[in-house]
Amino acid sequence: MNTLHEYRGDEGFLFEIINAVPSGIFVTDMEHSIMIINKAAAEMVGRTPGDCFDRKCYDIFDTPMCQTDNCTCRVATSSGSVNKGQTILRHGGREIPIEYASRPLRNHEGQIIGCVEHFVDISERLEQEKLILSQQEELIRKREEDIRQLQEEILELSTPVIEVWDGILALPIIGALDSHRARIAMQRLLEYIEQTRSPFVIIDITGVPTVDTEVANRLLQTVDAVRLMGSEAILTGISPHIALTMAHLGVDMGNITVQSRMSDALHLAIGMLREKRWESRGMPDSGHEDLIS
Amino acid sequence: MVPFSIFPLGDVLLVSIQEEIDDVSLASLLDLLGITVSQRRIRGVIVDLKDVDVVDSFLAEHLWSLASMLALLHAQTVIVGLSVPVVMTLLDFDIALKGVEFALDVEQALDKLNVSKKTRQVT
Repeated sequence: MNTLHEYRGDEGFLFEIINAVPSGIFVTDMEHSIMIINKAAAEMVGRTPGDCFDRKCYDIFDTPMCQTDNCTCRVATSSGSVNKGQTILRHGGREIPIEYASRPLRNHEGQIIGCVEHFVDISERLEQEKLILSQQEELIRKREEDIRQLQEEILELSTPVIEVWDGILALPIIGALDSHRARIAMQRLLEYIEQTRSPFVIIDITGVPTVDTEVANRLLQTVDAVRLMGSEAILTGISPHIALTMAHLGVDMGNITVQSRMSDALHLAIGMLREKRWESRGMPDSGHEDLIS
Repeated sequence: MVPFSIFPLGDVLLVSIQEEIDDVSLASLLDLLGITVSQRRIRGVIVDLKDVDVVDSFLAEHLWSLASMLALLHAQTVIVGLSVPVVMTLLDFDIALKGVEFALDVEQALDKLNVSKKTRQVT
């Protein structure tokens, strides 16, 4: 039977070679005794190769899998094939991440007589991977921020409130009306009404492609909001298609003033404003009464 | 200090409500308005809520009751002074104030009341 000991023939030369390899290499027998070990492997745990010969590999190296069924040498020798993986090498209070590969060693008769282990310190590689990942995340975050800003700008641009006449505001809605957009548009409209004290608001939906229950409700809500502020809303630009849809949806348009075109609404509103001005305020006669409190 | 004030403008009353109005005061306000409106043949009540930052369902219900009561006494209610945040909240909570009229300010409220006076005179 050929044992490992006899293969130590041209030791010197072999050792020159394996000591030149910067990653760790060692060979153990079936009892985990270290037969061969290179400088890099020994130095990783602060030793010289000489310290390690014939010592048990689990005495020299400390990983979570040592002396368990997961021991890579055990797995490699029992399965007869290469076992690769990543683990932590604990030394001097530090934890060094390593990547390893264990290969079973066979004699001429094909029997497994030991294990060759190769491992690499991957701490630098992991650091770099982390750095790249965080840079990518930063980039993505920035892009998302930019997109959000652009979306806000589009929202602002696409629902402008226009003073088309003294006391008459117009809100042309263009595009789909989602709840966020509707809310923003409504708020801006109300603020405009408050600022300009406009008694009339023309809401034009020529630019709204389709209306479902949600959109219809948002429109009605906006009309309600205008009413609560003390103004009156006139809805214009309803296409025949949308009119049919809203009828089918059973949307209650009872109290809403509707005109077909914005110009019609403008005529109507200007007319009503003139009427108001023609009417005398009609200060009711008042005896001087004390404050009721 | 009573958290409301009533200012007469001929056959219209201007009521101003303060933020801290409580249940009891609100109830006595409604009583007082009912009596005043019928005794003086008031035809319109303007309720100014500009000093109220929060209009919750409690207050909204009372305002609705007020409007209903006054309608039965042949007087119209107009509410003014709702700020944008108050309106948004009322809509968020789906607090309906049906049958109540609103105006941008007291001036426009008086316009509205005069308009309906005209309408009523014609009929």
